[in-house]
Amino acid sequence: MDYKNIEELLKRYWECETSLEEESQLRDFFSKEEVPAHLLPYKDLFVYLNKQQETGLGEDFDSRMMSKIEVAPVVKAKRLTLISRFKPLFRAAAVITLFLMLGNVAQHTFLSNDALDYNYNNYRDTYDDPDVAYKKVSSALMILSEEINKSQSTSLADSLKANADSVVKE
Amino acid sequence: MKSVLLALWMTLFSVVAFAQDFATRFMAEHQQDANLSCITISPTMMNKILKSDAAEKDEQMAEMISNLKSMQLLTSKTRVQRYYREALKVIDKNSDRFEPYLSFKGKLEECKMMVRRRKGTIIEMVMLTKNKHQFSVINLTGIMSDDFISQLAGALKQKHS
Amino acid sequence: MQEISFRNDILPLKDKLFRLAYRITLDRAEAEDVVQDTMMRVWNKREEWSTYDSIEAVCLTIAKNLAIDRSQKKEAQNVELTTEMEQAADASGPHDQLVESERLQLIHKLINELPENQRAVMQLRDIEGKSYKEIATVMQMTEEQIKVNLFRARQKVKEKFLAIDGYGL
Repeated sequence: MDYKNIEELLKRYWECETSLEEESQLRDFFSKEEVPAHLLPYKDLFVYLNKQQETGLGEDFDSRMMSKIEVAPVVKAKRLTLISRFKPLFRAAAVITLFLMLGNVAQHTFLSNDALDYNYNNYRDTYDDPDVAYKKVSSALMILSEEINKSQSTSLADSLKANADSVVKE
Repeated sequence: MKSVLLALWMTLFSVVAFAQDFATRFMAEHQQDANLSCITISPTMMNKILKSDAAEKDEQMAEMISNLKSMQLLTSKTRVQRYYREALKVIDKNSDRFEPYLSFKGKLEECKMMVRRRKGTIIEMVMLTKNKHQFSVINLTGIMSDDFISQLAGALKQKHS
Repeated sequence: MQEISFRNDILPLKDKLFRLAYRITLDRAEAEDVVQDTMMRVWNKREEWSTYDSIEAVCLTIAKNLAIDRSQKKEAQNVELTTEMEQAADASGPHDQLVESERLQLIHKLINELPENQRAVMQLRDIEGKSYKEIATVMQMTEEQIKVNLFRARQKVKEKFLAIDGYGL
């Protein structure tokens, strides 16, 4: 009989290179009666590993455990699992929303022609009537115009004064 | 995975948080304040204005308005000094966004204008004014080129001519 | 999604949990306590059940932590462990009801002399047939650490039983 396969598996077993399948094969092999002499030292280990799978607690544990549980009301458990069942859905929705919003922002930031990144969604117009709104905008622009001119004329005056000073110094 | 999501949320938050004009930021810090009044003109209303009868009558004004996306006006007749100072603080806090454009200090009033540029173009303009009676902020967003500024400067002269 | 029931999904895990707890604590009574404790805790968190990827992994992790806790408390009470091969071969210690023959007793003892983590990993791999990934989750270690523990465990066991005089003959 060819035991090369088993010897190979065994060698890899000690190196922790075997798969679960292969480890199962080893245990199966050593559980049979006919194990060659040179492999006999390893038999006990694999027989032990196999047998250990059968150990456990008895039936009486079940009844003791269930009686401990049944002290708590069962109704509560059902209601809570309903809510928690939706948690993964909420989580998924939140992630999707996040990506949608990011995409939206990215769109506005990168694809928008006019390179404006302002979010106007929350703007609540004060006026309904565009004519009234127009008046406000135009008067605001006039005020701006006024201030621009004021500052320009003072800076003009300043630079004139500076010139005059420098002329005097000369 | 969680840390990636967290980072994305923070990015979103920071981007969304900054996509506001000065007036919105300022008002956010004065939400319950009844002294400050705010007038908002949204992009939708700007479009309506351009189509309105009033705008038809003044071509030059209409042309200037066509550059604007929004306008917000803040005014207060009380606590003028305080609001002016606070507004300057907000500008300072966002000094990487706003650059000074011009300022004027007269006997009776003071004003400062700040702009926000993107790739050289002015996309936001903030003017803070205070005088004895009133504190006001004129906050525009839009595409305001140098042409627009000179048009704006010339607007008053035109009116008077 | 199937609703998880305690009776059908968690209670049947008792044997696996017991075996792991026993391998760690080396005490039948303690191990049984650990299983009861684990199940009570899992029961009390029942609103989280549907969020678990693997309820078995969660149970095993809790059991492992409880077992290690208890075993370390016991060690602090100076429990001596025999390491002499002759004594082991003698099987003079109390006969473990869970292990039948003398020879298997020997292997049992050898494995139980390994450090806690190594014997827990060996239990999960060689007896419970868990993947490295699953073991890493339960033991709360990386897969590399698991492989190292398993390697050391298997090598030590081999070394020990081959060293026993006249073993296998």
